[in-house]
Amino acid sequence: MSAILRKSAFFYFTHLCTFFIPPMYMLAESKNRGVLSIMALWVPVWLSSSILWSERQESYAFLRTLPVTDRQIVRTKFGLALGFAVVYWLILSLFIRAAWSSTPEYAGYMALASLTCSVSLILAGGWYILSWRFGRSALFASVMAFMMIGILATWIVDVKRMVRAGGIGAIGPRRLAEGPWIYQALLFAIALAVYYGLMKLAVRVKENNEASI
Amino acid sequence: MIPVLETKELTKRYHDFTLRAVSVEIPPGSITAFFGPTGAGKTTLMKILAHQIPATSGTVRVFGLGYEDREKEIKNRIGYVPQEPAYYADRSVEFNARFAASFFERWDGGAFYRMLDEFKVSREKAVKRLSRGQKTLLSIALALSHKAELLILDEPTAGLDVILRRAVLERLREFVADGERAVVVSSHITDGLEDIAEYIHFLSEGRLVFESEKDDLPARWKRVHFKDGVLAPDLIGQLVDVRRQPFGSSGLARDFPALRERLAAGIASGDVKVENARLDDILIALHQGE
Amino acid sequence: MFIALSANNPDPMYKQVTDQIKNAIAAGDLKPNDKLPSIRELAEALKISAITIKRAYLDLEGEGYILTRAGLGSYVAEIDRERLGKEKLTEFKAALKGILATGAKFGIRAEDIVRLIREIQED
Repeated sequence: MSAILRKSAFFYFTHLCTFFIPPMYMLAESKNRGVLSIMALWVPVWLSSSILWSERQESYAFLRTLPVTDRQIVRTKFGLALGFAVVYWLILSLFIRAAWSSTPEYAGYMALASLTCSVSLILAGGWYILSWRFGRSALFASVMAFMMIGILATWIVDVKRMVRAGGIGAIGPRRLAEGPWIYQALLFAIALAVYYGLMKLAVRVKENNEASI
Repeated sequence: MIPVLETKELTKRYHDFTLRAVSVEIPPGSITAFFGPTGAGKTTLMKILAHQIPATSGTVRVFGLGYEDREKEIKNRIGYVPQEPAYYADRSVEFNARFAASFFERWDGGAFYRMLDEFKVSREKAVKRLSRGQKTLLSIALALSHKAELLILDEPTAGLDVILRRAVLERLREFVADGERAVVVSSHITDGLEDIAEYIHFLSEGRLVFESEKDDLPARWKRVHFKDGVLAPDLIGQLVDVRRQPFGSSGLARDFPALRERLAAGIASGDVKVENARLDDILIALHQGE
Repeated sequence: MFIALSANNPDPMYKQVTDQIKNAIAAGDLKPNDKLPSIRELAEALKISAITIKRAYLDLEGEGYILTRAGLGSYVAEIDRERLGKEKLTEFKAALKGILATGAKFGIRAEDIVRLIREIQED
């Protein structure tokens, strides 16, 4: 199992680095902290493309000949996506704290980061299930479409935000930002619960489907 | 004696093909060969036996265990050689081997690399650059390197030259020599397999239509050559694949012992000659009979 | 002991093995209480399956030509020469029938064959 972990993690990790470079560059260039706010919206794009890239090179036919159960494979992959979603949230938190810790927008940014990470997590679970149920081409088409929309949305949003000075924090998820931290904790708890449910479903889907071969 | 593998009413339904109610027992110390024309369902059957695809209904028990709850344990103890071996194609043979090795509890790297050398498969080469035969040899080497007790091979001799084919068949024979392990092979051509197999099963259009101990075949199946007019029509009716030629005819007898008496006179006088039926002939006759 | 198996032989492999072991016994290559090779050894040597050898040994034991002692192996039993001879004679009978029938086509009679046998003996 650790071999699958190592192999898949490689793709997540290289994606993490790749996606950090443009924003970092933009940040360095323009000293525009607004860029960091965009990164929160990039989480789903990044996670989804990592999964796509990792799954494209995966060989389930090979894995099936080895003494490893579908359950183990699913748990490894879901665990990995969860791990990186957490890592991404932590990185975002650090940046957000560094950039806005004393500003009123801090809570807003954190709320946005938490929300996007949670949603991305659920999305990741969905991608895996889609891939194992309908095949890799379906995954490719769906993720590509999603990424197009995501990048487009982020770009549009970016422009609008810049116009409306004050950064994302000002219009971030209000409820979440204004409420006590416990709300975000609850959000994570719900997301994890849903994710766990998706994982159970994914095991059944994987076991009963030949599309992934 | 507990069979190494047994299936009961194994069925797999596809929208255009169905593997129907296959029930077999694989005894220890034996090589069982499944023959059949292309599309008969051999690969489907092998995949189900190795738990690569799920069956629609029926059961498979390996070493007395079921895949439902003991999949990992069973897969540790069997070696599966698929018809189209799958690997991480961009990576080297060595990488794929190390990857596989990390899952097997009883991996024998020494044996593996010795086999690679014998089969002349380079360990640094990317798998996608291997020929079909070399990929099969890689699979065979992997299957034989983790102390497996049952081998399931799907068309293992395709793409192999005569020398390597013989080397592989010889290894299979050695594998079962201890009397405890077993081998299941499928092929659409006989190709040397009939020499090492003890049990022959014939699949046609998704059904097991014939099974026999290989040793029994020469006694029951014979090609009967006869001078025209020497055999009664009803006797000829009991032969299959009857060929008429200018200098005599011949037909395949399915149950020679039953006909022996009636043929005795002809044999004695030299008007009837009998020879062992070749396995290919038997398989063709069975297929045509379906 | 000399055993050579042939795929062309109409007899199944296990019968070829039993026949040739019986030959060896009759010829004196195998004497009573001689140890036969183990099933595995013989299978390996002849490059055929152990199951076939096992069947051959079982048949030989069933006919009383060998004895198998659990854990020790198989041994040649006391030879019943008369029985061996009778069995061979039955085999010859079938072959002789063929010779006589073919001979009849050429106008050869049974007496001619008998005379031939005597001639061979005198050589």
